Amino acid sequence: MWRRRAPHTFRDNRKGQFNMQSKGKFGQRLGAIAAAAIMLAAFGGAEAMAASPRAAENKVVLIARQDPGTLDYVTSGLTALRLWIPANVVEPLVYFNKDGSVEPGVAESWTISDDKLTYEFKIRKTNFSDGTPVTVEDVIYSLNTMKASPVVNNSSAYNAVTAIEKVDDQTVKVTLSQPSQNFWRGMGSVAGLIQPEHAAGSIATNPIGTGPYVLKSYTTNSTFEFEANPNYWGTKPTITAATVRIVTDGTAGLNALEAGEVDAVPVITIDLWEQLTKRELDKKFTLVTYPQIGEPTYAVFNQKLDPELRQALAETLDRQSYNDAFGAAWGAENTCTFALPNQPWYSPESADSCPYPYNYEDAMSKAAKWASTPLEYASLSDVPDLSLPADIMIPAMQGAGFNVTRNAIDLARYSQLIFQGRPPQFDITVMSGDAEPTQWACPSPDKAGWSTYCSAEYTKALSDADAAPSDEEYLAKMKEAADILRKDAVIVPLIAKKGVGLFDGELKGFLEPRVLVAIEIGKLHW
Amino acid sequence: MNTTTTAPTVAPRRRRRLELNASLVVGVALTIGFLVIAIVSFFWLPSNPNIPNIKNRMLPPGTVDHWLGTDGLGRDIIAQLMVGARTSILVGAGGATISLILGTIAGLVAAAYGKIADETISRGADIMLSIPGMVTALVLAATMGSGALTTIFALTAFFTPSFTRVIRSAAMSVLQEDFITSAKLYGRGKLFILARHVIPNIAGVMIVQFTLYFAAGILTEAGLSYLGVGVTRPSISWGMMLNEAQQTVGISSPLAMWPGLAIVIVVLGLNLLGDGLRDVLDPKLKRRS
Repeated sequence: MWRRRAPHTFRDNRKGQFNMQSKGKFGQRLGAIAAAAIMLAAFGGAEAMAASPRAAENKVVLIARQDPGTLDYVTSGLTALRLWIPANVVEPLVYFNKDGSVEPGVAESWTISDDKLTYEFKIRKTNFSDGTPVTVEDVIYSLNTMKASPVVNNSSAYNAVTAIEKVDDQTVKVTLSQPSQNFWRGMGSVAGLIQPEHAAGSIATNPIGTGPYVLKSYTTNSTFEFEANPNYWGTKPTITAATVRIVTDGTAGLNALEAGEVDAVPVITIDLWEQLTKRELDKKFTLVTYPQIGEPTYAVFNQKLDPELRQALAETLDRQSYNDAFGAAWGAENTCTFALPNQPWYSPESADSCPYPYNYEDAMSKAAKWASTPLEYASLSDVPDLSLPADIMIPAMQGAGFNVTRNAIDLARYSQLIFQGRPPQFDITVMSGDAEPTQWACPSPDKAGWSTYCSAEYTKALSDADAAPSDEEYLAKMKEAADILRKDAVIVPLIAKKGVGLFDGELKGFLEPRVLVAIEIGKLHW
Repeated sequence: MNTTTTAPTVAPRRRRRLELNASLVVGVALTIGFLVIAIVSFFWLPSNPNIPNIKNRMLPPGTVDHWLGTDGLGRDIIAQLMVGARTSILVGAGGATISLILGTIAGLVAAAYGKIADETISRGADIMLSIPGMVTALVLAATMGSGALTTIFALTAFFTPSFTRVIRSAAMSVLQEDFITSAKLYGRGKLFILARHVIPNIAGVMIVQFTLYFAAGILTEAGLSYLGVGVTRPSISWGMMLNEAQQTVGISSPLAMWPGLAIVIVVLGLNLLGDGLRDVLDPKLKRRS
């Protein structure tokens, strides 16, 4: 009917014979269309606001932005892996809650000697997800494996460990050479994850543990499929099955959430924050912010550069402009401290905490001395979070009078030249990542990592912090270490970004990560 | 006799030539406009396209002093488009020119120097053509590092075989003509015949192919820069602008539209120019009209 009438309308218009009758029909038609559109919008809106179709089945679909490549948490420290496997599939010996309290994990109880040199863990009588019982031998194997892990953040927890022994069929004793904060904290982190020895060969594709979920399948660059673990020792999770889709395009991820195809995007990177608020997704969904998955963005000045030059370069860094450039100041804070707001030694940008604050005039006056020193800025061309700070930093340094040239390289080449290159091929660069301060510890200059930073003073402060007998002394030493790092002007923090996620309004129970950055699916419920 | 038999069809053919020339005129106008903008950018820019001005970020089109708006760091879009035109010419024309020179030499050798040379060059070109051009470019960018020179090198690698084929085919056709036989009988050498008789007769094909590959070069460069393996700052490319604008899709759509529009207009202009030139320079079309 519509197809027959339409030509009449067009013909009338063309000939200028758009009379009242046709206008009336046109008006009616317009009205009908408007009414239909309103009804459609109403029903469509109602549909969009309705509970997820997965709610009735107690299932969820989540989005991850990166593929980890391997699930071997012993050899890989990638966040993309640590988000999903720890706590969900593989559990640590204990859990550290946000309030500082400690809950049982694979260890159902523990004792710590007064001198804090001996830890005894009583292992829970339970089974791994493959049905085999958890044994003391499995625990000893897991701890020894982590002690030998190539991931420094894993192995550093065991620096003070001298022996890991079986006491009886249910008890493991760990002996330390000195009190170690890192060891105890590590037992509630990835360093304390417990795996069965017999399944070690399949850890890269099918890690097994005692967690509330079993990893049913992992398809590279596609999905993780989790199902409730029938052998789980704790309260059975409400969510019986979870799919994690790997969608590398952030906008596509947000679109999928808005379209109701997924129920949450637990990790949203800073380059999407402005879009998130402009599209009012923070109003349509539950926005969660949590520091654990946050990252500091920091400049790195090669330690081979003269300290005065590094300090002058640091004075060109206008932290507020980096924050403003992302258009989402609600999620990031200016800082000169290499830490995240949940770490007690963190402090926001202030006169006290910034030894080389933004002072462009002073930097310009100092730049004259270094005008003939060529400086190569290695910038990652294919990572928006990092190419954007470079776009601000390089013109600012050039404008101040420093002889800076840009070497724009992709991630593969960056890894080759900087992460693996010895000595690393850069004078200046910018990076974003893990806020763990121990990554800059360096026993001797020849063991300096990619950042080139090596300070005996800083390493000693960290070591003293680790050996601190009380939390107060630990904090004091960590603050001292943070101060040394700031003054050396090799690692120069710019902003501290929070973790940001969006959840369907009906999906409740999100718990701030307890095992490093892990999103605990088992705590969610409709 | 011919005149009387063809007379009824002369008028439509002339009209067709006229229409084709219209495409030439539009193509020339767009291409000249593109060249003028690129040349002007050397002497004048509304502002430095690399200096951020965070206070002015994401200004909408129509803002005084920033008529097409600003990007996420407050950099003027017009200034970036103007510098981007420069890059497009450098990379597109650079790749097309080098490919034209190499392809012409290889094509002429294949056409004139016997079966072995022909087979070797033709099969070599076939092998080169069987490798996807974009993959070649990505590998080169990964090994040599990204930048304008790498992009020109990549374009040369996958345009040269195509040029070789076209030039070989055109040259072989010319080499079949009677006047070439006459030149041979007159004792002229191969090099003389190629330079004096073949090249002038295939110049039209060469020019047309050049304009088409110039356009293809601009598209490829934009694609590579969009993927992050082409031109990087402080150089500016329209593809790079598209890549950067991708971060703001959902916040400010025109940011992605401007470089896209620039690419469309320039590539359309070059293609119309190529089509128009083909019609003007093609001897068969000339004879018919």
